Amino acid sequence: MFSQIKLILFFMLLSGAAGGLWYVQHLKAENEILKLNNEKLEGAVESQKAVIEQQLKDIEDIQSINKDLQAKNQKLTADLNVANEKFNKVNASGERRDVGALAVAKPKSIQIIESKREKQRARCFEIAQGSPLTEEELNATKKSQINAECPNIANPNYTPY
Amino acid sequence: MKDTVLEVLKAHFGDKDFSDNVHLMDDLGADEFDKVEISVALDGKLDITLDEEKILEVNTVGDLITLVESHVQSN
Repeated sequence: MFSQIKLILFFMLLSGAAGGLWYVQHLKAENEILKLNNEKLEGAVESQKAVIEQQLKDIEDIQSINKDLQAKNQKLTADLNVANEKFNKVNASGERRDVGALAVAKPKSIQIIESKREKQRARCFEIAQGSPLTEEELNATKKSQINAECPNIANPNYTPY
Repeated sequence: MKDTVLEVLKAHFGDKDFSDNVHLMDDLGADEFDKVEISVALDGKLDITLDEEKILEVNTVGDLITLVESHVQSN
């Protein structure tokens, strides 16, 4: 009777040990899977970090470009006002300029002026598209030296009269 | 002659210094169209026809007076 109890206890201990061993092995296998998953997640986090960093850099670039465009837009708007002035200038006697009447009275003069201005306008487009300013344009400080069509972008050192 | 030129300049630019060395563009803020307007005004006042190219080559008040005087003398 006593030996039977000992045998039962022995098998119980044996099955407990086997169960424990199986549980430890199972935990190890799960641990390996978790380690692999963790490595994958760490890799994903790193790549996400790189993506976020690139996005932040892109945002900075976009903001910088946007700032440049706004500055350029302000200058172009100012130049548009300068261009409009030639048609609407009022002299000291209160007489508004009539370019049409001038063209009738002095056609050759107006043709010469417009020919010169046409070249200046072409240069304005070049500058607006990124062409670097020449020394002459940079050094222009007097009205007689400037590009009359777009002084704000062509002649940064010119202060309007 | 000079008085007429100064009179036209005053009507166009107001009360300013019109010394011979005063630059129409740099000192008075004129543009090329102003030169043409002044030319038209002088033509009317003096019954002349100033050269359309030469008026654009004028830089100073002195240049303008010289142009008008030489034009009147040659006609």
